[in-house]
Amino acid sequence: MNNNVELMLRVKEGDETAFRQIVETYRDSILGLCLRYLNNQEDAEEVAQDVFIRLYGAAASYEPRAKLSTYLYRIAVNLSLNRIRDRKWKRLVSWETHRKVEDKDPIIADIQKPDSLLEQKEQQMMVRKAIDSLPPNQRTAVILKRFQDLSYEEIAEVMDCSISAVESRLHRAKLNLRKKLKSFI
Amino acid sequence: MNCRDVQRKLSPYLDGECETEQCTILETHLKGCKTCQKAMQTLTDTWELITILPGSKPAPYFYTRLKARMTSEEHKEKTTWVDRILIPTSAIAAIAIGILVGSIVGRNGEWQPDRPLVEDDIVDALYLDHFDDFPSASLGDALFTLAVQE
Repeated sequence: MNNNVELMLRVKEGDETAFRQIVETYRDSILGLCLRYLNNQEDAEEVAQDVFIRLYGAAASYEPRAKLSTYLYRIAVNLSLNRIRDRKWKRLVSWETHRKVEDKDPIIADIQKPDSLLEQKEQQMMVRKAIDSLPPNQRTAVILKRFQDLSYEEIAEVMDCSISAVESRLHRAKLNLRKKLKSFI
Repeated sequence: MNCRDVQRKLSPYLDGECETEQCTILETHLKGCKTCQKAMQTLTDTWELITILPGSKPAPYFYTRLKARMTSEEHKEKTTWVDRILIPTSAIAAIAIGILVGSIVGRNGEWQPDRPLVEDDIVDALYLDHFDDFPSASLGDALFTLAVQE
């Protein structure tokens, strides 16, 4: 029996150790996925917690149909998109200024000239904006492929579409990104 | 394969998702086509560029915080029926009783505001058997006069 299936069946029985093992296994990839959508560590952690809380809640009715990772990614994508929608709505009704995007991200090299650091920051900001400006399906395909390194088949399972749809979405996404980021290429 | 078809297949080719036969056709075309070579290079550079975004920070206490949140939410669910039903019901009952008591006291109370106070009312209220007037022009006399309306 697949290890994850076994773990989920144990979670269904109320085994907390099994649940913890699942969380520890998928924590980083789910956090990383949420961060790509939300660009904020705090929000990403909160949504990542929501993902595992959902998983725990669904354990009682768990049937080993889909792969556990597929299931988790699907929840993470949906919850992240919901959070983005909520943010936009709150901004609309409360005149909130744009939520501060994490700008305390670690810079890769310690020893760099200030100009290079600023340039790198600017590039990161432009890349974030470019990815955020993609239509949701294209953005999801890019995040799952480039940052989670899923295969086209796995992406198709998460997004509940065909492999050719994934191919098309990624192709258009890359063309869009190329257009938006041409000054950096 | 023409350039348009090749460029549409560059993305899965670069992602390693092309079938062997298709890869061979693409590579043959790319060897002799500078336009498509340039398109592939640009696509590769774009794809590399977007990885400059930093990853998530380590979260060693993630599970601890998750558990704490799950426990707190479980606790909230258990007390919700108290907040939702018991407290509002008690508040409404208290208000209703207050209105009822107030209306009873208002109807049966001793002081009726449309009748001016008289000396006897005050004497009764103070449980005095009788009352000798204050000396004339004294403070007590002045206060008593003010309290009694003719």
